[in-house]
Amino acid sequence: MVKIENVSVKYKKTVLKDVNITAEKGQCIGLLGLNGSGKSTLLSAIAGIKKPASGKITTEGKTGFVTQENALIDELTAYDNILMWTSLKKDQIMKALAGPELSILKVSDFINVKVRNMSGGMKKRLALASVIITGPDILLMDEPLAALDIPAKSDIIKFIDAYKAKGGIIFIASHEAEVFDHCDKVYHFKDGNCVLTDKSRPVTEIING
Amino acid sequence: MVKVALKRIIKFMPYVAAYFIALGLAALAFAFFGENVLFKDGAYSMVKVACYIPQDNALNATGFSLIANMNSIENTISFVDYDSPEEVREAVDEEEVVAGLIIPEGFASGIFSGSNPELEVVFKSAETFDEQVVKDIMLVLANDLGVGQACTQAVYSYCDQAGLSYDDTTDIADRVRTEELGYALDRLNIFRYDTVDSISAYTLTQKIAGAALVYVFLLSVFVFAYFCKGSNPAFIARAKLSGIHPAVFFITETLSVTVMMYIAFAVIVIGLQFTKIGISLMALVRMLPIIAIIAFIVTGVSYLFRSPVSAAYISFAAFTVLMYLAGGLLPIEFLPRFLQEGAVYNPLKYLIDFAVEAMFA
Repeated sequence: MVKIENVSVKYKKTVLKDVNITAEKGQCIGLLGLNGSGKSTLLSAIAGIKKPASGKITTEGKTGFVTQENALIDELTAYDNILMWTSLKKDQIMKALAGPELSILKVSDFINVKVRNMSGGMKKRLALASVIITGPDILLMDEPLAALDIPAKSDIIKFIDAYKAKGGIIFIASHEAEVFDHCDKVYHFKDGNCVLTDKSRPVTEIING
Repeated sequence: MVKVALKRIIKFMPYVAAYFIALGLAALAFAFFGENVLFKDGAYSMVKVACYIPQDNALNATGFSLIANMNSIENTISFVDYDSPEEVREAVDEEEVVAGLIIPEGFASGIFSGSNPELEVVFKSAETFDEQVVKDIMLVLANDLGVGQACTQAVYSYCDQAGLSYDDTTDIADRVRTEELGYALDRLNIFRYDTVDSISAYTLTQKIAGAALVYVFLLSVFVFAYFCKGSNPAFIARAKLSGIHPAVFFITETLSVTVMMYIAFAVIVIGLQFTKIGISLMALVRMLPIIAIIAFIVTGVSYLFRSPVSAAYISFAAFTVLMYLAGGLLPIEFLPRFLQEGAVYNPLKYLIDFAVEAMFA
C-alpha cells in the first residue's frame, strides 16, 4: 500500500500542495499534467529521494523507480547494466528475465548488446527490467512511453498489466493518453494542486480544462 | 558492483587512451621544446638589468661583454642596453628592470689615469628573493671590475715609486692587463650556486614536463565527465533505492578514475624512458597519491555539472587560469610581480611541485 497524506513539496517555491493519494495492491495510479506541474517531484517524494516539506508518505514494501532519463552505462552490455544493481548470479538473472512479467520486455534478446548500440525502446525495456529484477513491490515510472515506437509502447503496457495482475502498485507520470486506459485512478496536476479526475475524459480536455 | 566497476574500466580505457595520446603528445612536445620557445640562446632568465655602456672607449664594451657572456651571468641576468644613464634610472624607477648598471664616461681611460671612476649600480628596491640575489650579483660584479681597476692603478703607482721609465711602466701595465684579460677569458663561471629550495634543482624541461603532466591529467575531465555518473539524478536515485550511499558511488568512481589515470601514467613513464626527460621508474610509486588527488578533483568537477560538455568547458577555463597563476603554463618569473606573490596561495603550485619531485627525484 502507498498512502500520501497532505503532502507538500517545496523547492524555491511550493511545487505540490496538500496531495492526498492512496494506492492499494494491484492498482495503477496515473499522474497527468503539464511539464513542471509536479508529477516527477511526487514520484521522487514517494521514492524517498525528495523529502516533503509537510505531510506523510507511507509505503509498504520495496520501491523501484524508473526515471525519465535511463540510469544506464553506455559502454556496458545489457547484462552488465543489470548486474550493476543486483547481487544475482548470471543464471539467476537469465532465469528472472525469462519469468512471466520480464519476458514481456524481451531483454534476453539483446542481453549482450552494448547500451550505446541500442534503440530508445531497447534502452527503456532494459531500464525497466533492471529495476524489476530487484523485486520491487511499488513501481514508479516517469514518462515510460516517451519517444518509443509502437511495439515498445505495446510491450510496456502489457508489462504494466502483468505487474498489476501480480499485485504490484504502479505510479505512472505521463502525457500519453493510452497509458491512462490501464490506470485505476488518474490525478491531474495543475498549479501545485493534485485532483482526482475522470479518466474517461480525453487527456487534452483534462489538461486544458 | 566491484566486478561491474572493473568491466567499466576495461571498456572505457580506449577513450582514456585516445585522450592521453592526443593531449599527452602535445604536452610532451611542449616539454621538449618549451625551453627553446620560452628562452633565447640557452638563457634561462627573464631577470632584466638595464645597462649603459659609454662608447668613448672600446674597452668598456669589450670588458662588459666578457662579463655578460660568462655562463653564470648569462643564465642569471638578461642585460638590456639603454642610451643614457637617465634612461637606466628611469627604467629602474618604473620597474621595467630589476636593476641598472651605469658605466661612467671615461671609465676605461680613468683606470690608467688614476681618476678612479666608479661604476653605478641602481636599485629601486629588492623585495623578492630573486631580486636580492640579483642585487648581490651586481655588487659582486662591480667589485670585480673595481679590483681590476685597483690592480692597474697599483701597477702605475708602484712603477712610479720605483722610478721606472715610462716605457717600462707601460710594458708592465700591458702585461698585467693581459693577465687580467686572460683570467677573465678563462673563467666562464664566477659563481657556484647551491640551493635549499628542492624544486629549483630541477631543470626547466623537468619542471615543464611535470606541470604539463598535471595539466593534462586535470583536463582529463574532458573524457572522465562521460564516465562519472554522479551528476545524473537517475543514477543517484537508483543508487539510493538500491541502498548504495551516494558517497560510496563517488568513492567507487574516484577509484576507477584513479586506476585509469594510473594506467595512462604508467604508459607515459615507460614511453619517457626513451627520451631525454629521463623520468625515474620510482615515479610509478611516488606519483600514486598525486594521481589519486587529481582523480578526486576530476571526479568532483564531473559531479558538479549536469552536462559533461559544461564540465569540460568550465574546467578547461578554470584549470587553465589556475595553472597560469601557479606558474604551470609559463615559468613563474614571466608573471607580473603581484601574481608571482599570489602564486604561493595557489594549491596547484604545490601539486605541480609535488609532481616534479615525484617524477624526477
